[in-house]
Amino acid sequence: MTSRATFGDLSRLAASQLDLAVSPPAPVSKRNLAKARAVQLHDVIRSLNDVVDVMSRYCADITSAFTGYPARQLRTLGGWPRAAAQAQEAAEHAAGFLRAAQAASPRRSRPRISRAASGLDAAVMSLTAGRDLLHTHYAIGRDGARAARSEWAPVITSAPITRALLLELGQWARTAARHGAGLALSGPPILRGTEEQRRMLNAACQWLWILDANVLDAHRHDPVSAADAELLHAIPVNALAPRHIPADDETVTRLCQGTTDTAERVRHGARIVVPQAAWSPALTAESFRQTAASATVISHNCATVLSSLAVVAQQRGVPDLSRDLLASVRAAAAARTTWLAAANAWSRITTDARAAISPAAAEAADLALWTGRIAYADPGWTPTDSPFSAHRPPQDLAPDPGDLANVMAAVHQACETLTSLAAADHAQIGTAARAGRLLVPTRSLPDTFDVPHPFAPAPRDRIGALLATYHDARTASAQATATVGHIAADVRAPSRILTTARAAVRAGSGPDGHPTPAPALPNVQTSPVHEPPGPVERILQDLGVTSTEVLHHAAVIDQAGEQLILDAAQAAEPRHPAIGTASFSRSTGTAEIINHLLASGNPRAAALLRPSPPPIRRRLGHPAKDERPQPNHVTARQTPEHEAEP
Amino acid sequence: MDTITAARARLEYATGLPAILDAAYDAFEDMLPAIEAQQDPGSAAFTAFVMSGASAANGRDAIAAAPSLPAVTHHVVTTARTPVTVTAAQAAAALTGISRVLVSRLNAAAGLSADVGDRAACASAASHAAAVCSLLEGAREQP
Repeated sequence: MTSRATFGDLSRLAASQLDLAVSPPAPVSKRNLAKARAVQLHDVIRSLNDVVDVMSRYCADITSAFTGYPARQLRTLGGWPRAAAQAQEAAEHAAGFLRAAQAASPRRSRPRISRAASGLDAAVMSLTAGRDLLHTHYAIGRDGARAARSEWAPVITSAPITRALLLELGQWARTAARHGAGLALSGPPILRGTEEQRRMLNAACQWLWILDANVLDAHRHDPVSAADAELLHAIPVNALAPRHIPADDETVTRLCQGTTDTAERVRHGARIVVPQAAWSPALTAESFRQTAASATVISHNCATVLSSLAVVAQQRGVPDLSRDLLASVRAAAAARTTWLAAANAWSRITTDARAAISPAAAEAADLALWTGRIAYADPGWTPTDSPFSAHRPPQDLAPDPGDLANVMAAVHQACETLTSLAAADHAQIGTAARAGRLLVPTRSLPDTFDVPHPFAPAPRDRIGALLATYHDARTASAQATATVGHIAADVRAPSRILTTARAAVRAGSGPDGHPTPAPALPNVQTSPVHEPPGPVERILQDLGVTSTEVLHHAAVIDQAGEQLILDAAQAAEPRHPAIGTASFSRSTGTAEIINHLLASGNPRAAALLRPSPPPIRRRLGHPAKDERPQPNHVTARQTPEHEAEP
Repeated sequence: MDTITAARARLEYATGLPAILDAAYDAFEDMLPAIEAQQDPGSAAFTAFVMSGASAANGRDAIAAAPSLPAVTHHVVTTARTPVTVTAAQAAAALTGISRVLVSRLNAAAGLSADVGDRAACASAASHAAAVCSLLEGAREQP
């Protein structure tokens, strides 16, 4: 739909960077291996801390929808809202462990000297840029609150998109945890003095897995749809293409892109003037007339193009598509009728301000030109110069199947813009009427009106009639948009995300909205995740065992062992509700089992084997007064088996 | 097109600024239903007639703001639609013709007044009449 950078560009880049995040240390002599690993550990902890820091910011953005909810109440919510709150908590705990691990590092003041974590650093840049991209759609008001700056703003805060974003966060967390834990549990040689760092790194990774498990649990119960994930990735940076008008030698492809760019500009222009309707000098009858006339021409052009596409579909032997296109021709024609009524209603009414033409009105005329260039054969078509220009031959309009999708996208964008224009102008007219800005020439009133001025306040019946025409234009334009949107989805036109975006906004904001049921995301793991092998299976692999049967047997043993641990933890929970996995993760062997359980995405494991929170508000080794030890609970800092790893 | 023909004659023979403004206001008012009557989506000139409606209304409003426009008109404005027997080409010809006269008379009238409001109103209305002329010029004769 757009040539601008999208969130998906940055998200995919971040995912690939995270995937290859940790490089092995540069080859060194065996004598220096432990030292090289310590350097790598230091750098990975620092970079992973940056990754988690960005993820925490994403979580804070998502949970900002709950502003005003007490944190305790958030935890009592169900489904996605709870997952959002838990994700934020998990990210904060992971960050806490990583900060503590950094503070414990004897190298904390050194610059990064290895390239071991360069992938993580690159991912930090991509994740930050992705978040910045989403934030371009908002401005911070004087009261500190976020204010929408684009039509994408309500999409970003909609329930389906916050859920899709949470799911993405879970995937990032899972990948990051895999790398971090792999390093934390790596075998000897180990430099003395790094045990504490490795323990904390592992605890941070366990919290990242918990983040993922909670999100996956919400996703299993209320799946994110593939369309919503696609919509999240399609969110563009908030930067409109510059205004331009078509040259006389544009190709259909370029005309379609120009139509899309201009349609977005018109929607933006229409949206931003609504709050100014009570006072803006650009609110003039001239602007409304030009907009309504242009909208009539745009819908006329759309009907012409759709009619030609119906011929194309028929010629290609796709009668169903041809039939749908003919239905869309009727819908566009109905929109044209209502817009014409709105344009003509303005012959009986005017405004207090005159002469100025609003940017939206000026660009609506541009859109009429762009759509006309697609519809008509004359490459220099204008509404004024070419009244008898022939329609563009269908075979020229879409010579290849891909062209049909592009043309449908342009028409879809134009129809969407008509709907936005009708809504915006209806709102403006209502505000202008309340502000007494709608007038009529006194001479147009019956002689019974004695008004000693050239203009008089518009009678209510004229205002009512005018508003009714815009209501009709909005309804008919929305119907045309819906009809065209269905076809756009069928032919996989790039504009199909417009339909998803509107549905997302209708679903409400924040993770607790109610999205319309849609096909679930097919490529996201909804069953328990088993990325790395369990400890028994891994040992067999390390021993060079390749027999599928033997490895399967090992995996079954791993699963049985984990199930036993979970059952035991559940049975112990009423007595020891605050069991932390730190107590189970004192050695590499037990930590590996716990990690494997948490990495499985099993919500039961995440609930029962939650690690203890990180050490807070204290210097390492000096517990804060408010940090009360829990029964049978060993914090990450406490190391009763100090010689054990990690 | 009788109303347009009559409005054009009245405009041509109007003398003095108030009379020209009065006739110009009514001419624009008479043009509006004539334009609306030709807004047939099946016509090749549909777009031109749609756009010209906006210009005619803008011209009418510009004249309405002229300080020298008489407060009351004794001319009966026709709001009925022009009979459908008139073709788009015939309507375009009549409307282009009256628009040309409007441009000419309003430009001349602007020079008759010392009032800046009158001059601005005449200039603005003349530009809108020129726009109607430009829009409908091509629709006068269907190929």
